[in-house]
Amino acid sequence: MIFCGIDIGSNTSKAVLLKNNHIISTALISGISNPSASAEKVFSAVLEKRDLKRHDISCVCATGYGRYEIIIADINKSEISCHGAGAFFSNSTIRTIIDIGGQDCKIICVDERGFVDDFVMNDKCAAGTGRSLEIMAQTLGLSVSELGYIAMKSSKSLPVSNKCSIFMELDVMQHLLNGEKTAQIARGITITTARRIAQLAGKLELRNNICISGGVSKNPAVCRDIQDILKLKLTKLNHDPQLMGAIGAAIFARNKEIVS
Amino acid sequence: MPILEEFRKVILNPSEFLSPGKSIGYMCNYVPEELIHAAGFTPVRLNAVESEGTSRGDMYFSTGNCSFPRRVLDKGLSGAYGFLDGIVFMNGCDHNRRLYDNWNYAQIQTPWTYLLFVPHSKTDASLNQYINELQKLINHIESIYKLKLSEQKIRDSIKLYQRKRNLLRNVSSFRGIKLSGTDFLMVMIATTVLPPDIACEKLDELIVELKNAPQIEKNLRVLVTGNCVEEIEHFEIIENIGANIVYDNICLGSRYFDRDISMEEEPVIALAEGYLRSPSCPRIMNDTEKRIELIKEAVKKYQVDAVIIEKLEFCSMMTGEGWIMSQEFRKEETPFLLLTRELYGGGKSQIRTRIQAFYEKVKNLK
Amino acid sequence: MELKPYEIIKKIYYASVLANTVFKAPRTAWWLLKASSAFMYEKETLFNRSNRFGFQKIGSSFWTPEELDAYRHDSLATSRVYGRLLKAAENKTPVVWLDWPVPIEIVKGFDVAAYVPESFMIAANIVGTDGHVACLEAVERAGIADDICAMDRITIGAWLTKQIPPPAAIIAVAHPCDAGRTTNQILEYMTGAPAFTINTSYTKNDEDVMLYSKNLFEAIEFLEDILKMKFNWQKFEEMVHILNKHNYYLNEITAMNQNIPSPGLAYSLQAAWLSKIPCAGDPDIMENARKIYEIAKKSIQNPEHRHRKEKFRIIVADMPIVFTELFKWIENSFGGVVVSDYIGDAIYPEIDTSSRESMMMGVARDRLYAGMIKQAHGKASETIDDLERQISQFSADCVIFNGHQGCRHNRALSRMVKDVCARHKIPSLMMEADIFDKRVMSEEKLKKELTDFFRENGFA
Ligand code: SF4
Ligand code: SF4
Repeated sequence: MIFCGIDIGSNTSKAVLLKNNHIISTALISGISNPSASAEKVFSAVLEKRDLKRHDISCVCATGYGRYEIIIADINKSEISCHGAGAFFSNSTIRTIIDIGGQDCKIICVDERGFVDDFVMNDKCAAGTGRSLEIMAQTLGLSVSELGYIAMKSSKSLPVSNKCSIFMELDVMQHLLNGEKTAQIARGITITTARRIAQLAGKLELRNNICISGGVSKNPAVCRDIQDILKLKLTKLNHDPQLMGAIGAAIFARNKEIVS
Repeated sequence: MPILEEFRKVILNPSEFLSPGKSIGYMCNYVPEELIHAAGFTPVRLNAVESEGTSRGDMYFSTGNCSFPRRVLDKGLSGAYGFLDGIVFMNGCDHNRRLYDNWNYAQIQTPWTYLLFVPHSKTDASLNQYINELQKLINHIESIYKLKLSEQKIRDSIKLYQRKRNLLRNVSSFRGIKLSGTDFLMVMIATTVLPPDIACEKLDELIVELKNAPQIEKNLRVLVTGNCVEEIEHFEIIENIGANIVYDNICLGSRYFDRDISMEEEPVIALAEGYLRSPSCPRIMNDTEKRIELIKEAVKKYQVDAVIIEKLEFCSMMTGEGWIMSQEFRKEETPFLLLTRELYGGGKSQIRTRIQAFYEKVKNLK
Repeated sequence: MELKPYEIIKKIYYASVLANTVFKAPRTAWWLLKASSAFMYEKETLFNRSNRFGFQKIGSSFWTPEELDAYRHDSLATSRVYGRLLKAAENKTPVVWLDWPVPIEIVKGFDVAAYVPESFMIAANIVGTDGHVACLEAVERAGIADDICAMDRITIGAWLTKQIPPPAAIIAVAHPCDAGRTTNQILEYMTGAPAFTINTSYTKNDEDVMLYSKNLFEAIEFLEDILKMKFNWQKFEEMVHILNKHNYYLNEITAMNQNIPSPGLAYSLQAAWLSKIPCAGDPDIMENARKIYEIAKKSIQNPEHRHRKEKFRIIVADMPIVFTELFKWIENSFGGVVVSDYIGDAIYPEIDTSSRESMMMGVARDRLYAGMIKQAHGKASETIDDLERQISQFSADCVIFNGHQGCRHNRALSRMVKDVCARHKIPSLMMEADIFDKRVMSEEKLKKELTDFFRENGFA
C-alpha cells in the first residue's frame, strides 16, 4: 500500500509517498495560489515521478495551513504532529524539533514513539519566522540564503530589536543609513531571530536530541546562533528538513489505514 | 432547541428586549448588579459581541492595549450603546479602567458614567474599603434619580439574582452532556443583558428543554480559563475540532454564577462580602493559589482531559496567572494549552493548528 | 552576559562606598571625572561598557564640585541599604521585600534588611546596560510573556539570576498597575514567602488615605507576627520628622525649577526619587537634598554663574529612560533642559506629626504623591491634570514621551496626552522606546529621534 502526505505551507507545498516504510517519491513546489490548487499540483507532481495514479494511493493525509480546504485528502492532522512524526521518522533519536516555517515557528517535543507530548508556537507576530528573515534580507537587498552566508562571516553583530518585525526593519534601515557593514547587520538579524526562538524555547523543556526543520533550517547562520544562544548541539536529519511535515502526514495516513 | 434561538436574538439585538430609558450598563464582575436593579433599572453587561473592529477605539487607546476594551469603546463610538441611561465602570484592570476615561473623553452620549473602585485584595481593610465604595455608588444612583435604595429593595434584588445564579449553575451542569460550551457562553451573554426576571423565565424554559434534549456527541472534555474571552466563534473552534467545553473559569461563566450572597446580613455588607470573597478573578491579589485549587477541583469533578488557558494579548494579569497555572498543571500532569490571542483578532488557522495539535497531543498522552 | 550571584548589589554597594570616599575631596574628584569624561561619557565602547552608566549617573564634568559634595550623602545612604542587604545575605538574617509604593518606614521600624526590587532594578545599570538585558532574558527563558512592564520583569529576573537574598516576608501593593500586581503574584509564587497585600487608595482625599493607612497598620501587625519582633514606633517617628524636612527641600528644588532660567542642576530630581524610595527617613538623604537646595538657591540668585545656557525647556511626561542618561545628553548637545518629569516632580504635602495615626496617614499620602503613583492610580485626570499643571508651571517648550512599552494604562491615554500638548500649542514627541530594554530601541536610535524632533521644531 502507498500512502501520501501533503503539506500546504504558506510559501511552499510539499508531498511525499510512503511505501513499506520507505519514502518512494517527494515533490516540492513554491508559489502561493489557493491551497486546494496547490495540493492538486503537488499531488500530481509526486505521483508523476513514479508513474502512479490517484487510485494507487490508499490514504491521503493533509497538513499545513491549507489542510482544511483540501478535497483530495482523506484526513487532516496538525502540522505540529506531522513535523514531530516526520522528524522522528527521519532520525529516531530525535526528541525535540525546532521548526521555523514561513509564518510561524514552533518547538515540538516527541516521545519515544514519535508522538507529540509537548509543543509551543509563536503568537501572531512574525518576528523570528522565515517571513521576517525574508523581509530583513530584502531590506538589505539580499536573498535569505545570501543573508545566511554573509552573516556567517561576521563575528561582530549590531543590535537589532527583538520586539516585532516592524521594529526589526526600522533598526536595519537605521544601520544602513549609518553606513554600517552589511555582514554585521546580517549577523544582528540572525542573532535576533535566534533570540526569539530561545524565548519560545523557555516555555518548555528541550530534550536531546534536537533538530531543526522547516525552510530556515537551511540558513547556516541562524542554526549556528541558535546553538550558541540555547547552548545546545543540533542533530542532523536524514532527509530534507523541509519535507518533515509531509513525511509526518504520510505516516498518519498509514496509521489511519492500519487502525481502521 | 428553539429557546437557544431566542438567546441568540437577544445577543444580536439587546435593546429590543429592554424597556427604553430603563437600562444601566456595567463592567464587570465586581459591580453588584443588585444595586442597579434595586433602583428600578436593568443592569446590562457591556460586551464586545457584534463589535465591528477597533479602528474607532484605537483613536483613543493604543494598539498596545487589550482588544476587549478597545472593541467595547469602538462599539460605544458606533452608537451601539445609545440605549443606556448610564454606565458603571470599574477598575477591573488597567485597560478597562481607562475605558471609563476614554469613554468620557470621546464624549459618547451616555447620560452619566461612574467609576467604581474595587480593592485588589480580600483583607478586612479591603472589605471595609469596598463597602465604602459601594455606599458611594448607592449615593450616586440615589442622587441622580432622586430616590432611596431601601434595604428591602436591595434584598429583593439579591433574592432575584441569587435565583438567576442558581439557574445558571443548573444549566451549566448540562455542559458536556446535553449542552455545548459554545451555547452556554451564548446563554451567559444573553442573560447578563436581559432583565433578570425574563432571564430567569427563559432559563427555566431552557432547563425543561434540556431535560428532554438528546445527548451531545462525546469528545475530549476541556475546561477553559481566562478573563474576558467572550467570543462565541472562538468557542466554536475549540469545540468543533473535537472537544466539549464541560466547565470554565472565566468572567462570563463560573466566576459570574459561582457566588452566593447572604440574605441574613445587612444587604450592602452582604453584597460586599459575597462579591469580594467569592471565587476571585486574577485582579485579586494573594488569591492565586485558591483560584488554581478551584480549577484543579473542577478538573477532577468534571473529569476534564485538558485545560485551555486563554490570555488576551497585553492582559498583564493573565501573564502572571497563566504562567503560575502552567507551572502547577505541569506538576499535576494536567495537559494544558496557553493560548494568547486577540479578541476577534483573526488568525483562525493558526489558532486552529494549535488547538488541533494540542488535542492530538492529549490523545497521545492518554 | 551572565550575572554572578549578588553581583549587582555588590557593585552598587562598592560604587556608593567609593563615591562617598572620593567625593570627600570634591574638587579633586571633579578634575578626575573631567579628565576621564571624554572616553567614559559619549559612547558605549567595549572598554567603558560595564562602568559607563555609573559614571554617567554622577556625570562627568557636568556636575559641579558642590553637587558632588552633596551627592556624597546620597551615596552614603545607598551604601547603608545595600551593605545591610549584603550582610543579611551572608548571615542569612531576615530580609523583607517591599514594593516601591509601600512606605519603607513600616519595614525600617523593624531590625531587618529591607529590599525594594524596583529601586534595585533601576540601579542595576551599574553593571552596564547588559545587566538589565541579562535579567530580562532570564525571565524570557523562564517562559513568562514579555508584555508586562520591563521594570517588573527585571525584578523577576533579579530573583532568577540570584541577585537578591530570599525574603522572610513580602509586602506587596495593589497599585499602581497590573504589571506590578501580576509580578507580585509571580514573585510570591517563586519565593514561596508569606505575603501581605496593601490596597492603597484611589484618590488623594482624606477618607481614602485613611483606609490606606489602615492597611499599613495591618501590614505592621503582619510583620510583627512573621518576624516575631516589635515595631519600633520611636524610630518611626524620627524617620517621619526627617521625611518632613527632606520633602521640604525636594519641594523647594522642584519649585525653583519653575524659574526661568532654571537653576541648571546636573543632579536631577528623578535621582532624588530613586534614592528616596529605599532610603526614606535616612538623615543623609535629607542632607543631600538640603545641599542641593542651597546650590539651586545660589544659582537662582546669581544666574550669571550658571555655567550652561538654557535654550529651551522640556517636560518628560513618562518614566525617564534608564539605560542612558538622556537628560544630560540633551542639555549638552542642544541646551534643552528637562525642567520636570513624571518621576522627579515633587509636591509632597507636609505630614502632621501629632499622633501615630496622623503620621501613618502622612506616610501613606506621601507615597501617593511619589512620581508614577501620583499619576498612575485612579482616574485619567490624575495623569492629565498633572501634566497640564507641569506644562504651565514649568513653562515648557515641548513634551517628550518615550512611550514605555509595558505601561498599559499610560498607553491608553496617548490621545489625551497629545491633545493636552496641542491645547498648549507645544510640540510633543511620542516614541516607542522602553525605559529599560535597549533591545526595543537602542541608545543611538533614541538620540536620533530626539535630534530629529528638536531640529524639526526649531530647537536645534
Ligand atoms: S482580558 Fe485582561 S486586559 Fe483585557 S480587559 Fe480583560 S482583564 Fe483587562
Ligand atoms: S512604568 Fe507603568 S507599568 Fe511599569 S511599574 Fe510604572 S506604572 Fe506600572
